[in-house]
Amino acid sequence: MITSELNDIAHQLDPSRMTVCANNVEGSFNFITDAMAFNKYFGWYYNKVEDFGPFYDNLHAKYPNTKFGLSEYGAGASITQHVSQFVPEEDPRPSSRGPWHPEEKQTAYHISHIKMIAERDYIWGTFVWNMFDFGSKGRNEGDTPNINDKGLVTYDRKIRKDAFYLYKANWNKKEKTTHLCSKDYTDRKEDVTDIIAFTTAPSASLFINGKQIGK
Amino acid sequence: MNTDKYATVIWKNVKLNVGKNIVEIRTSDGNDTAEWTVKI
Repeated sequence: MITSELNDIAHQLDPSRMTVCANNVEGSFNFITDAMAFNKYFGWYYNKVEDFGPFYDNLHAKYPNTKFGLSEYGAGASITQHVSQFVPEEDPRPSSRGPWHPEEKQTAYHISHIKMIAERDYIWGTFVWNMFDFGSKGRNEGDTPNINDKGLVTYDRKIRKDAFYLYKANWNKKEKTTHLCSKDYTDRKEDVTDIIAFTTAPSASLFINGKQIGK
Repeated sequence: MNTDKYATVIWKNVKLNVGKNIVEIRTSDGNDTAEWTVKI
């Protein structure tokens, strides 16, 4: 099997380094390398966001002495498309392979994942897919063809999507962050909305037209 | 409102005004603002 051969070659070239295999299915080949990781898109390509937890918990119960990585996870987002509710778990979801990728779907997806990952100390590492939108020939999703829009930042590197600030506020405690989501959803047809902010501060206050809302 | 363990604050089902809404988040670590217009 090529995985075994590559694993042996890697160990021969540098015995000090661990090897890891990223995969999207479960099988014996996951145990060839020193560590294993899975590319999983619960709530984007399949199932629901909350199915992430049972998947990893079942793996952990089956292999209690093994730690697992999450080598890819993410959801697409078009900064020109918006909704007023952040509800990744409810159907109908925007089709991951279709043209409707509202940014709030991605934001909600990552809010759920950062919590589910933190609650599981047997996950050795996680990798957001992806930092930037990137070219993907033949893909016709979201608002732009030939782009994978799972990035936390737009293809031109100019606009940081809302989910970027979730990770910044969680991972960069040296820099103060306060970010209001959905700022670009400027013209609305709904008069009821969820409002989400990411901040390094211990609390936040919301004002609309100068009047404080929900202390 | 208190920030949760994951640096997130959520206000659910907030009623906006028809017309212009100046939405402001104020915190000890900075503020952020948006202008949303509702047309029904």
